[in-house]
Amino acid sequence: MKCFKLLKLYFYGFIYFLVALIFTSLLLFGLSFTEINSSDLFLAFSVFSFLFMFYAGVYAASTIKTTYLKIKTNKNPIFLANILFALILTILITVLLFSFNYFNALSINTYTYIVFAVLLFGLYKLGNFIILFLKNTSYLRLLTLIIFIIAAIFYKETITNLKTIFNYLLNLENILQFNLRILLIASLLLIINYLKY
Amino acid sequence: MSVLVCENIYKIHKKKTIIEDFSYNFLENKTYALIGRYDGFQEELLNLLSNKSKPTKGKIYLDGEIISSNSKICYLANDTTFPAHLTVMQIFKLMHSFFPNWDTYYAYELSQYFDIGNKDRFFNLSKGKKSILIGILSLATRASITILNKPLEDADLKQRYDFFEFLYKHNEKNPRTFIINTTNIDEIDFLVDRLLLIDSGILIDTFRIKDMKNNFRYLSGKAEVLKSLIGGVKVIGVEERGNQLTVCVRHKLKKDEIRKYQKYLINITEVPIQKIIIYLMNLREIKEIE
Repeated sequence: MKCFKLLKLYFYGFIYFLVALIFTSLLLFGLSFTEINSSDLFLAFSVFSFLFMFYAGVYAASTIKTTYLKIKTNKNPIFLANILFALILTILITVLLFSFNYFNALSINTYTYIVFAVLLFGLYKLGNFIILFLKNTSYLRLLTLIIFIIAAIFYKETITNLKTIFNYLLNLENILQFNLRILLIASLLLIINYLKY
Repeated sequence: MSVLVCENIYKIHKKKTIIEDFSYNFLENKTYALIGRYDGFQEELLNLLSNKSKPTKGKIYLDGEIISSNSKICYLANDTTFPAHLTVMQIFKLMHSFFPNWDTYYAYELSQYFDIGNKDRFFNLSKGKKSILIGILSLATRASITILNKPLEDADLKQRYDFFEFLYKHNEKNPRTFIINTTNIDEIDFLVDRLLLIDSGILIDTFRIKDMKNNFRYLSGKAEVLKSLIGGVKVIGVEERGNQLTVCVRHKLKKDEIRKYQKYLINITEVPIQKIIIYLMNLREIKEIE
């Protein structure tokens, strides 16, 4: 039950993240009524959600965990609350993706949502893992900046590559196998995170 | 109301003994002060007492059970941080969910007194105000055992004085155990029941503040006169400024002794606790050298 109380800490801590998520969703939803191709918007939203989940994982393991452990000492509630919050975010983003596709009538396989959900959860855990093991976040900002600059310079290639990756994800033949792989990696990260939390 | 019992605690970090054979019972509704040479060992002791760190050897019991994380103990270190964008009001709400006895009204009252707005964001607070806020949070938790490490270190003198007055009044209303690590015992001597002198992780001695105030006296006067009078008296500290000599004696003066000193124009005054600690530490150093 303690972990449910801790969700308040996550909610307060992530308030700006959640606002950014809702704002971006509304923006993309609004743009889908313009002449911009809906599948491109779907791609943009997917990229945003993956980045969002990765940084949410980074933020949760650095700021939220530090705050909690300065106040209390029991790591179990914060670990459980972390998983619970990751699941809530995953479901929320998957529902947003689903509603986006529903309104734009994109032909996306239902199983694809499961792939996205598993990937989102995996990225959140990856964010956790990086912070717990490398601890220093300052280099991450620099790395992100460099990646964005490179992506902006080679924007044509970036978009083409991203489209290829998403086409691969959307047309996965062996979804179950792919999901199992990601879930396995996420579970492994989860166990390592637990030991390190 | 809780009792914290430490049994032969050792803490070894990187082959270095930080805490050595620490045994002490922190009784309910008493205020303890930890004082000694600043070497960070006291902070490690506070971490052990609040279960933030585990002892290498020995056991700590809280109300008869081995210490575990619970809301009976509150220790907010000075470097406690919150997500930068959180407002003071949100921090209070968070604390309420962590500590069942949390007193929101008291927290608001204190924050208003110290000019911390409820809508102020954590990252906008100055260093001094952050340390006041951590002090306020510690008090308002009303945890049975509240641990403070150099409270309000970055605040100014007036704010510290006011805070300790609040602490005293709050303790009168809601009695509990306080363990305060401090470098300035004189500003909190009216709060403290017992003082633990710790040096290099070893508990050297414990004192009752009342006894310290009664059993130590400053005698000051002309050097040659005072020197002739104090033969046979246990002197723990000497300060000579020109022709003026001040000695600290560990001795409860009787009426006839007081009369004798007054006859020779020797001033008798109370010794600040801080000074007594310094003299005792000096004596310990001399003994070690010998």
